[in-house]
Amino acid sequence: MEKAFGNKLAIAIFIAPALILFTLVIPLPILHSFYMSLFKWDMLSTMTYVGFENYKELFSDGIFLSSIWHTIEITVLSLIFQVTLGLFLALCIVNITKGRKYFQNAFFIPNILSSAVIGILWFFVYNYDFGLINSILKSIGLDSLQQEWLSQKYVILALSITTCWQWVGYHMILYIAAISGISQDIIEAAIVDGAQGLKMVTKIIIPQIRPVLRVSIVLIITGSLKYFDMAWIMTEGGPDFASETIATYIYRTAFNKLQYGLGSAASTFLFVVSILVTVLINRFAAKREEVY
Amino acid sequence: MKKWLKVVALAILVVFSISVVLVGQMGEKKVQGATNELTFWSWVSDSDTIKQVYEQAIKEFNSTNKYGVKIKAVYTPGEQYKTKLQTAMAANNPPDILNMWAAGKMKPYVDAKKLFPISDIMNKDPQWKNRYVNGVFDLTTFGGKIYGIPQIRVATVIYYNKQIFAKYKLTPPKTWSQLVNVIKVLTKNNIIPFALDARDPWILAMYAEYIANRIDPDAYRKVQKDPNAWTDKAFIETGKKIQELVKLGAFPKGATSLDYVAARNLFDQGKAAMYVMGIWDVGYLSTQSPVKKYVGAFKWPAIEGGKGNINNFLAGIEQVIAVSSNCKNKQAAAAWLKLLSEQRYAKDLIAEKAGYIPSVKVTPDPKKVTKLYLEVLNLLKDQNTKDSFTYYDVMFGPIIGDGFNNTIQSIYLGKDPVEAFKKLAEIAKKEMKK
Repeated sequence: MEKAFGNKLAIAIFIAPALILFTLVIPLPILHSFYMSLFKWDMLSTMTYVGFENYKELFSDGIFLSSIWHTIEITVLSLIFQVTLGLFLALCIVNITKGRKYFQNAFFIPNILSSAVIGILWFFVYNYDFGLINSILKSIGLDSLQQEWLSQKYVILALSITTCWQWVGYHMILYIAAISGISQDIIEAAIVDGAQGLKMVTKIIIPQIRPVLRVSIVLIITGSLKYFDMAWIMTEGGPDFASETIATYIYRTAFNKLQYGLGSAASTFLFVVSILVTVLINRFAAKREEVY
Repeated sequence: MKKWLKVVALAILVVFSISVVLVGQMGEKKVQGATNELTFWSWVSDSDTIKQVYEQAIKEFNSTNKYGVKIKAVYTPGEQYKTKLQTAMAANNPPDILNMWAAGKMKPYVDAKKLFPISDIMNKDPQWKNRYVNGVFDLTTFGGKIYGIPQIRVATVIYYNKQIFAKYKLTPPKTWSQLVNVIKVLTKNNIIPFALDARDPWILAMYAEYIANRIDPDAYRKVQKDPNAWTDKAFIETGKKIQELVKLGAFPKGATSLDYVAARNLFDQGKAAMYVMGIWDVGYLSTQSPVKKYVGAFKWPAIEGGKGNINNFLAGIEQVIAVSSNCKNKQAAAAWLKLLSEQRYAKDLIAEKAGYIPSVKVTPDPKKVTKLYLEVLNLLKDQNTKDSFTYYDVMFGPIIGDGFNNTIQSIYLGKDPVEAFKKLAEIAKKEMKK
C-alpha cells in the first residue's frame, strides 16, 4: 500500500479522472469565457476578433460603471445589515432558554425559500397601493412616509433589505454555533474580571468567533458581487437601470442584446474582482487573527 | 524531482488531450433523430390556445402527409426559449421548424443564413399565399424573400371602461386636447386614467410610439436609415408629451413597482378607466376580467397640428413560424405550414376559440366571438397601412429598439428628452456603423 502511494504514476492515475472532470467543468469554461471576450459575436454570424475592444467599450459604458457602483452599494449594505442583525439575533437567542428552537427556525425559514418566491413576495410588500409597508404606514397614520419603494431613490435599499431577510437566519445560525462553542472557562473568567453586556460582546465574544465572522463576511461579499436573482425578479435592473448590478448587466448584454463578447468581458471582470476580493479578505483577516 | 515533473506533465497532457477530444465531439454532434422526423420548436405554453392549433395540425399532418415524415414538437415556454435557440444555433444544431420573431429580431438569423426563404416554395403555390391578409409578410420579408409565416396579427388599442366613461359623461377622445380633458375629469374624481406598468419599459414605449406617429409618421421611417433622426423634433416632442401625461397624473402612483398583471388589476377593479395594450388581451378582457361587460376599445387620438392620422395603427404580427435552412425536408415543412393556414385552424381555433385575429383572411361567426373582439376588428378595418408602424423593439432589434424603450422610461422618470434622445442617437450610430 505504501509503495502504491509512493509511486507518482499511480498517484497521477488515481487523480486523473477527478482532475479531468474538474478541468472540464471549472477552469475550462472560465478560460473559454475570457477567450470569448476577445470577440464580437451574436452567436449567429461568424466571430470576429477585436482584441481588447470589448473591455474598452465596457468601461466607457455608463450603465456598466453605474452597475459596479450599485454592486458596491449592495455589498456594503448587506454587510452592515446581515452581520450586525445576525450577530444581534444570535446573541439574543443563545441567551434565551424557552422557545429558542422556535425563534431559530423562524429566522431561518426565509433561507429555505427559493429566491424567486422571495422576490415575488417582496415585490408585493413594496407595492405602493396595497403593499404591506405602505399599508402599515397608512394604518398608523403615517401616510406622509409612504413611498414608491422600488423607485430609483430607494430601490437599492429595498433590495438589500429583502436579501437581508433571506440570509440573516443563515448567518445567525453560524454565529450561534460559534458562540456556543466558546469555552465556558473563558466566559466565567471574563465575568469574574467584571466583563458584562457590551464589553463581553466586543472584548470576548467577537474575538472568539472571528474565524466564523470571516467566513460569513466572505460569503456575504461574494454573494453580493454576483447579485442577480432579486434584482432580476423584482425590478429587472430598473427602473431606468437604477438597480442594475454587474450580474444583471452580464445577463442583459449577453442574452437580451446578443452581445456575447461584451457580456463575456463583463463576466471576466467580475471573476477577477471576486478572486481578488476573496484573497484580500483572507489575507487581511488571517493577519489580524494572529494577534489573538 | 524530475520524475515528479514528468508525472505532472503527463497528467496535464492527458487532461488536455481528452478535453480537446470531448470538446471537439460536442461541436460536431450532428442533428439527432431519424431523417423522417422534423422537429418543431415553439415557445407557446400550455395556457396558450395557439398550442392547441399546433398540436391539432401536427396530429393531422402526421397521419395524412404524403412525404412520410412526422413532426415532433418541443415546447419551451418563456425566456428559456431564446437561450435554448441561441445555443442550438451557435452549435449549428437548429430545429427544422421554429417559432421566430419578426423584423429586427429576425434579421440576425436571416443575415447569418440560418433560415430558409419560404417564398421559394410559396411563390409556386399562389392559392396558399392568397389566403393571407395583405401586408402580413412585410415584417418577415428581407431582400424580397419571405422568411417566416405569422399566425396572428396584433395591434395596440386603448381599452376603456364604458361604465366609468358613462358615469362622468365622457366619450372616447379623438384628439389630444380631448384626451387631456378626459384625464382631468378622471383625476378630479379620483380615478386613475391609465392603468400602467412602468416597470416593463416596452409598455410605456407603446404610448410613445403612438404619440410620435401622431406628430409625424415620417420620423419612424427616417430613423430606419439615419440614426441622427432620433434627435428629430417629433421624438423630443414625444418625450415632452409623455412628461405632460405624468404631470397630469395620467398614471398610477408607484407605477414602477407594478407588473403586467398588477397594472391590469387596477383596470379590472375599476380603479383605472383606460388601459393601453395589444389586442392579445382581448380574450382575457372579454371573458375573464371582472369588468368584461363594460370594456370597449378606441383608437389612439390624433394630435392637433400633427401629421399623423387617427387610423395609423401600432400593429404587427406574432407567432411567426420559420423553416431552418438545415431543415431535412423543406417541402414537408412547407406543407405543414400550409395546413396551418386552413380555415378550420384560422377561423375556428385562432379567431373563434382563442380570440386572436389570424393572419389568414377569415370572417369569424359574430355569434361565436365576443363583442369586444368585433369592436376591435371593426377599428382595424379602417387601418391606414401606409403610415402604420410596428413595435420599435421588434422593428429595430434588441440594441436600438430596447434602447428606445429604456429612453422612454428614463424620460418618464424625469430625464430631459433632448439629452435622452441624444444618447439614443449615439447608441444607434454605433450599432448601425457595424
